[in-house]
Amino acid sequence: MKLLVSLSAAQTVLLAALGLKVFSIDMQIDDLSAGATPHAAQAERQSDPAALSWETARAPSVSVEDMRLVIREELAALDATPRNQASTPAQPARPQPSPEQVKHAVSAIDRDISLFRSRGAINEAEMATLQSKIAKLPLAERRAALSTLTKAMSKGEIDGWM
Amino acid sequence: MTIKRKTLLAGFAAAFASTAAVAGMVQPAPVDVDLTTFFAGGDMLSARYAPNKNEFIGCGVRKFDDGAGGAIAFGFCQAEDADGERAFCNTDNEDLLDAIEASADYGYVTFTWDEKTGQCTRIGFSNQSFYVPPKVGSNL
Repeated sequence: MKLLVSLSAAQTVLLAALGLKVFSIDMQIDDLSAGATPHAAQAERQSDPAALSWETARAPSVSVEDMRLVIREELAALDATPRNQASTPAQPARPQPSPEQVKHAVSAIDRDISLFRSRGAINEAEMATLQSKIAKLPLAERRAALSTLTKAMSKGEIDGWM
Repeated sequence: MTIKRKTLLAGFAAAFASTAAVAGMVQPAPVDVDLTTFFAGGDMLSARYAPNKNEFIGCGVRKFDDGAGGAIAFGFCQAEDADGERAFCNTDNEDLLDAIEASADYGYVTFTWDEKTGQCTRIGFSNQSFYVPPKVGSNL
Protein backbone atom coordinates (compact mmCIF):
# COMPACT_ATOMS: atom_id res chain seq x y z
CA MET A 1 0.00 0.00 0.00
CA LYS A 2 2.80 2.41 0.92
CA LEU A 3 4.49 1.55 -2.33
CA LEU A 4 1.38 2.40 -4.30
CA VAL A 5 0.98 5.75 -2.52
CA SER A 6 4.59 6.70 -3.18
CA LEU A 7 4.34 5.66 -6.82
CA SER A 8 1.18 7.74 -7.21
CA ALA A 9 2.89 10.76 -5.62
CA ALA A 10 5.87 10.36 -7.93
CA GLN A 11 3.57 10.13 -10.94
CA THR A 12 1.78 13.35 -9.88
CA VAL A 13 5.09 15.18 -9.50
CA LEU A 14 6.24 13.99 -12.94
CA LEU A 15 2.94 15.01 -14.53
CA ALA A 16 3.23 18.46 -12.95
CA ALA A 17 6.77 18.81 -14.29
CA LEU A 18 5.64 17.75 -17.75
CA GLY A 19 2.77 20.27 -17.65
CA LEU A 20 5.15 23.06 -16.71
CA LYS A 21 7.49 22.15 -19.55
CA VAL A 22 4.63 22.15 -22.09
CA PHE A 23 3.46 25.50 -20.77
CA SER A 24 7.00 26.88 -21.15
CA ILE A 25 7.20 25.64 -24.77
CA ASP A 26 3.81 27.20 -25.54
CA MET A 27 5.02 30.51 -24.18
CA GLN A 28 8.09 30.37 -26.38
CA ILE A 29 6.01 29.62 -29.47
CA ASP A 30 3.69 32.52 -28.63
CA ASP A 31 6.66 34.82 -28.28
CA LEU A 32 8.02 33.71 -31.63
CA SER A 33 4.74 34.21 -33.48
CA ALA A 34 4.08 37.57 -31.77
CA GLY A 35 7.45 38.82 -32.90
CA ALA A 36 9.34 39.30 -29.69
CA THR A 37 11.81 42.19 -29.55
CA PRO A 38 15.51 41.54 -30.20
CA HIS A 39 16.27 42.20 -26.54
CA ALA A 40 13.75 39.63 -25.43
CA ALA A 41 15.14 37.21 -27.96
CA GLN A 42 18.62 37.76 -26.65
CA ALA A 43 17.49 37.25 -23.09
CA GLU A 44 15.66 34.14 -24.14
CA ARG A 45 18.73 32.78 -25.83
CA GLN A 46 20.85 33.46 -22.74
CA SER A 47 18.33 31.86 -20.42
CA ASP A 48 18.06 28.78 -22.60
CA PRO A 49 21.49 27.41 -23.42
CA ALA A 50 19.92 24.35 -25.02
CA ALA A 51 18.19 26.52 -27.59
CA LEU A 52 21.45 28.34 -28.27
CA SER A 53 23.35 25.12 -28.80
CA TRP A 54 20.57 23.86 -31.07
CA GLU A 55 20.82 27.02 -33.15
CA THR A 56 24.55 26.92 -33.52
CA ALA A 57 24.64 23.21 -34.15
CA ARG A 58 21.83 22.92 -36.72
CA ALA A 59 21.76 26.28 -38.48
CA PRO A 60 24.88 28.27 -37.93
CA SER A 61 24.17 30.68 -40.78
CA VAL A 62 20.55 31.41 -39.84
CA SER A 63 19.94 33.43 -36.71
CA VAL A 64 16.81 33.27 -34.58
CA GLU A 65 16.08 36.81 -35.70
CA ASP A 66 16.13 35.65 -39.31
CA MET A 67 13.75 32.86 -38.48
CA ARG A 68 11.49 35.29 -36.65
CA LEU A 69 11.51 37.51 -39.69
CA VAL A 70 10.54 34.58 -41.94
CA ILE A 71 7.78 33.49 -39.55
CA ARG A 72 6.49 37.05 -39.30
CA GLU A 73 6.41 37.34 -43.10
CA GLU A 74 4.62 34.01 -43.43
CA LEU A 75 2.08 34.98 -40.77
CA ALA A 76 1.58 38.37 -42.42
CA ALA A 77 1.04 36.68 -45.78
CA LEU A 78 -1.48 34.26 -44.27
CA ASP A 79 -3.22 37.11 -42.54
CA ALA A 80 -3.32 39.22 -45.69
CA THR A 81 -4.61 36.51 -48.04
CA PRO A 82 -8.33 36.63 -47.14
CA ARG A 83 -8.24 40.44 -47.18
CA ASN A 84 -6.69 40.38 -50.64
CA GLN A 85 -9.35 37.98 -51.88
CA ALA A 86 -12.10 40.10 -50.40
CA SER A 87 -10.67 43.29 -51.80
CA THR A 88 -10.42 42.05 -55.43
CA PRO A 89 -11.14 45.13 -57.46
CA ALA A 90 -14.76 45.02 -58.62
CA GLN A 91 -15.97 46.09 -62.04
CA PRO A 92 -16.19 49.84 -62.14
CA ALA A 93 -19.75 50.96 -61.78
CA ARG A 94 -21.45 52.19 -64.90
CA PRO A 95 -21.30 55.97 -64.78
CA GLN A 96 -24.73 57.27 -63.91
CA PRO A 97 -25.68 60.68 -65.28
CA SER A 98 -27.40 63.07 -62.93
CA PRO A 99 -31.17 63.70 -63.39
CA GLU A 100 -30.29 67.12 -64.76
CA GLN A 101 -27.90 65.60 -67.30
CA VAL A 102 -30.56 63.05 -68.32
CA LYS A 103 -33.15 65.79 -68.75
CA HIS A 104 -30.73 67.79 -70.87
CA ALA A 105 -29.83 64.74 -73.02
CA VAL A 106 -33.49 63.82 -73.55
CA SER A 107 -34.25 67.38 -74.68
CA ALA A 108 -31.34 67.32 -77.11
CA ILE A 109 -32.47 64.00 -78.60
CA ASP A 110 -36.06 65.24 -78.91
CA ARG A 111 -34.76 68.30 -80.75
CA ASP A 112 -32.73 66.08 -83.10
CA ILE A 113 -35.73 63.87 -83.88
CA SER A 114 -37.89 66.96 -84.47
CA LEU A 115 -35.24 68.29 -86.85
CA PHE A 116 -35.15 65.04 -88.83
CA ARG A 117 -38.92 64.96 -88.84
CA SER A 118 -39.15 68.49 -90.24
CA ARG A 119 -36.51 67.64 -92.83
CA GLY A 120 -38.23 64.32 -93.57
CA ALA A 121 -35.04 62.28 -93.67
CA ILE A 122 -32.03 61.06 -91.74
CA ASN A 123 -28.80 59.79 -93.26
CA GLU A 124 -26.64 56.94 -91.97
CA ALA A 125 -24.11 59.11 -90.16
CA GLU A 126 -26.86 61.11 -88.46
CA MET A 127 -28.58 57.88 -87.44
CA ALA A 128 -25.34 56.53 -85.94
CA THR A 129 -24.84 59.74 -83.96
CA LEU A 130 -28.43 59.76 -82.78
CA GLN A 131 -28.24 56.11 -81.69
CA SER A 132 -25.03 56.83 -79.75
CA LYS A 133 -26.76 59.64 -77.90
CA ILE A 134 -29.77 57.44 -77.19
CA ALA A 135 -27.55 54.63 -75.88
CA LYS A 136 -26.20 56.92 -73.16
CA LEU A 137 -29.66 57.40 -71.66
CA PRO A 138 -30.97 55.32 -68.76
CA LEU A 139 -33.17 52.40 -69.83
CA ALA A 140 -36.59 54.08 -69.50
CA GLU A 141 -35.52 57.21 -71.38
CA ARG A 142 -33.70 55.10 -73.97
CA ARG A 143 -36.83 53.09 -74.65
CA ALA A 144 -38.89 56.25 -74.94
CA ALA A 145 -36.44 57.85 -77.39
CA LEU A 146 -36.24 54.71 -79.54
CA SER A 147 -40.02 54.48 -79.48
CA THR A 148 -40.34 58.06 -80.74
CA LEU A 149 -37.79 57.41 -83.45
CA THR A 150 -39.19 54.09 -84.70
CA LYS A 151 -42.76 55.38 -84.72
CA ALA A 152 -41.73 58.46 -86.72
CA MET A 153 -39.95 56.21 -89.21
CA SER A 154 -42.84 53.75 -89.44
CA LYS A 155 -45.21 56.62 -90.20
CA GLY A 156 -42.91 57.81 -92.96
CA GLU A 157 -42.21 61.09 -91.16
CA ILE A 158 -38.50 60.30 -91.28
CA ASP A 159 -37.07 58.56 -94.31
CA GLY A 160 -34.03 56.45 -93.54
CA TRP A 161 -32.76 53.22 -92.02
CA MET A 162 -31.69 52.27 -88.55
CA MET B 1 -23.53 12.14 -138.32
CA THR B 2 -24.61 8.58 -137.60
CA ILE B 3 -27.87 7.77 -135.86
CA LYS B 4 -25.94 6.33 -132.92
CA ARG B 5 -24.01 9.59 -132.42
CA LYS B 6 -27.23 11.69 -132.72
CA THR B 7 -28.92 9.56 -130.09
CA LEU B 8 -25.95 9.99 -127.78
CA LEU B 9 -25.96 13.81 -128.19
CA ALA B 10 -29.73 13.94 -127.63
CA GLY B 11 -29.24 11.94 -124.45
CA PHE B 12 -26.62 14.34 -123.16
CA ALA B 13 -28.79 17.36 -124.02
CA ALA B 14 -31.76 15.84 -122.20
CA ALA B 15 -29.62 15.11 -119.18
CA PHE B 16 -28.33 18.71 -118.97
CA ALA B 17 -31.79 20.12 -119.60
CA SER B 18 -33.23 18.11 -116.73
CA THR B 19 -30.56 19.26 -114.23
CA ALA B 20 -31.16 22.87 -115.24
CA ALA B 21 -34.90 22.56 -114.84
CA VAL B 22 -34.85 20.72 -111.50
CA ALA B 23 -33.07 22.75 -108.81
CA GLY B 24 -35.09 22.03 -105.69
CA MET B 25 -38.07 23.80 -104.27
CA VAL B 26 -38.09 27.59 -104.47
CA GLN B 27 -40.34 29.66 -102.24
CA PRO B 28 -39.90 33.38 -102.79
CA ALA B 29 -41.54 35.51 -100.10
CA PRO B 30 -41.79 39.14 -101.17
CA VAL B 31 -41.79 41.61 -98.30
CA ASP B 32 -45.18 42.32 -96.83
CA VAL B 33 -45.78 45.07 -94.29
CA ASP B 34 -49.22 45.08 -92.70
CA LEU B 35 -49.88 48.24 -90.72
CA THR B 36 -53.21 46.98 -89.36
CA THR B 37 -51.88 43.80 -87.76
CA PHE B 38 -48.39 45.27 -87.20
CA PHE B 39 -46.70 42.45 -89.03
CA ALA B 40 -43.81 42.41 -91.46
CA GLY B 41 -42.25 39.46 -93.23
CA GLY B 42 -40.33 38.45 -96.30
CA ASP B 43 -37.14 36.79 -97.40
CA MET B 44 -33.99 38.79 -97.94
CA LEU B 45 -33.25 37.40 -101.38
CA SER B 46 -36.67 38.30 -102.78
CA ALA B 47 -36.36 41.78 -101.28
CA ARG B 48 -32.86 42.30 -102.68
CA TYR B 49 -33.87 41.31 -106.23
CA ALA B 50 -37.43 42.66 -106.15
CA PRO B 51 -38.55 44.42 -109.34
CA ASN B 52 -38.93 47.72 -107.47
CA LYS B 53 -36.77 50.15 -105.50
CA ASN B 54 -38.72 49.86 -102.26
CA GLU B 55 -38.44 46.40 -100.81
CA PHE B 56 -36.07 45.61 -98.02
CA ILE B 57 -36.20 43.69 -94.77
CA GLY B 58 -33.77 42.87 -91.97
CA CYS B 59 -32.79 43.20 -88.35
CA GLY B 60 -29.67 44.43 -86.65
CA VAL B 61 -28.03 45.03 -83.29
CA ARG B 62 -26.19 48.11 -82.06
CA LYS B 63 -23.82 47.84 -79.10
CA PHE B 64 -22.20 50.69 -77.24
CA ASP B 65 -19.42 50.59 -74.67
CA ASP B 66 -21.00 51.44 -71.31
CA GLY B 67 -17.71 52.62 -69.79
CA ALA B 68 -17.81 49.88 -67.15
CA GLY B 69 -16.54 46.89 -69.11
CA GLY B 70 -19.93 46.03 -70.55
CA ALA B 71 -22.12 47.19 -73.37
CA ILE B 72 -25.49 48.77 -73.88
CA ALA B 73 -27.28 46.98 -76.69
CA PHE B 74 -30.47 47.42 -78.59
CA GLY B 75 -31.76 45.76 -81.66
CA PHE B 76 -34.11 46.74 -84.42
CA CYS B 77 -35.99 45.32 -87.36
CA GLN B 78 -37.07 47.24 -90.42
CA ALA B 79 -38.92 46.50 -93.62
CA GLU B 80 -40.63 48.13 -96.54
CA ASP B 81 -42.85 46.39 -99.05
CA ALA B 82 -43.45 47.04 -102.73
CA ASP B 83 -46.26 49.48 -101.89
CA GLY B 84 -43.93 51.62 -99.80
CA GLU B 85 -45.39 50.62 -96.44
CA ARG B 86 -42.67 50.76 -93.82
CA ALA B 87 -42.22 49.13 -90.45
CA PHE B 88 -39.61 49.72 -87.77
CA CYS B 89 -39.33 48.29 -84.28
CA ASN B 90 -36.67 48.24 -81.59
CA THR B 91 -35.87 45.99 -78.66
CA ASP B 92 -33.58 45.63 -75.66
CA ASN B 93 -34.95 42.18 -74.81
CA GLU B 94 -31.89 39.94 -74.53
CA ASP B 95 -33.63 36.90 -75.99
CA LEU B 96 -34.79 38.87 -79.01
CA LEU B 97 -31.27 40.28 -79.39
CA ASP B 98 -29.96 36.69 -79.35
CA ALA B 99 -32.48 35.82 -82.06
CA ILE B 100 -31.28 38.69 -84.22
CA GLU B 101 -27.66 37.70 -83.78
CA ALA B 102 -28.46 34.11 -84.75
CA SER B 103 -29.84 35.13 -88.14
CA ALA B 104 -28.19 33.94 -91.35
CA ASP B 105 -27.93 35.03 -94.96
CA TYR B 106 -30.82 34.53 -97.32
CA GLY B 107 -33.33 33.77 -94.57
CA TYR B 108 -36.93 34.66 -94.15
CA VAL B 109 -37.43 37.47 -91.63
CA THR B 110 -40.60 38.24 -89.76
CA PHE B 111 -41.41 40.60 -86.93
CA THR B 112 -44.32 42.19 -85.18
CA TRP B 113 -44.41 45.28 -83.02
CA ASP B 114 -46.39 47.21 -80.49
CA GLU B 115 -47.91 50.22 -82.17
CA LYS B 116 -47.86 52.33 -78.99
CA THR B 117 -44.26 51.72 -77.95
CA GLY B 118 -42.61 50.79 -81.23
CA GLN B 119 -41.06 47.82 -79.42
CA CYS B 120 -40.61 44.54 -81.27
CA THR B 121 -42.93 41.90 -79.86
CA ARG B 122 -41.78 38.99 -82.02
CA ILE B 123 -38.73 38.41 -84.19
CA GLY B 124 -38.38 35.32 -86.34
CA PHE B 125 -35.87 33.94 -88.78
CA SER B 126 -36.20 30.92 -90.98
CA ASN B 127 -33.25 29.55 -92.86
CA GLN B 128 -34.48 27.25 -95.59
CA SER B 129 -33.01 25.89 -98.79
CA PHE B 130 -35.84 27.40 -100.79
CA TYR B 131 -34.68 30.92 -99.86
CA VAL B 132 -31.12 30.36 -101.05
CA PRO B 133 -30.35 31.95 -104.41
CA PRO B 134 -29.62 29.79 -107.44
CA LYS B 135 -26.02 29.22 -108.45
CA VAL B 136 -24.47 29.99 -105.05
CA GLY B 137 -22.69 26.69 -105.45
CA SER B 138 -23.76 23.14 -105.75
CA ASN B 139 -23.28 19.82 -104.01
CA LEU B 140 -24.32 18.01 -107.20
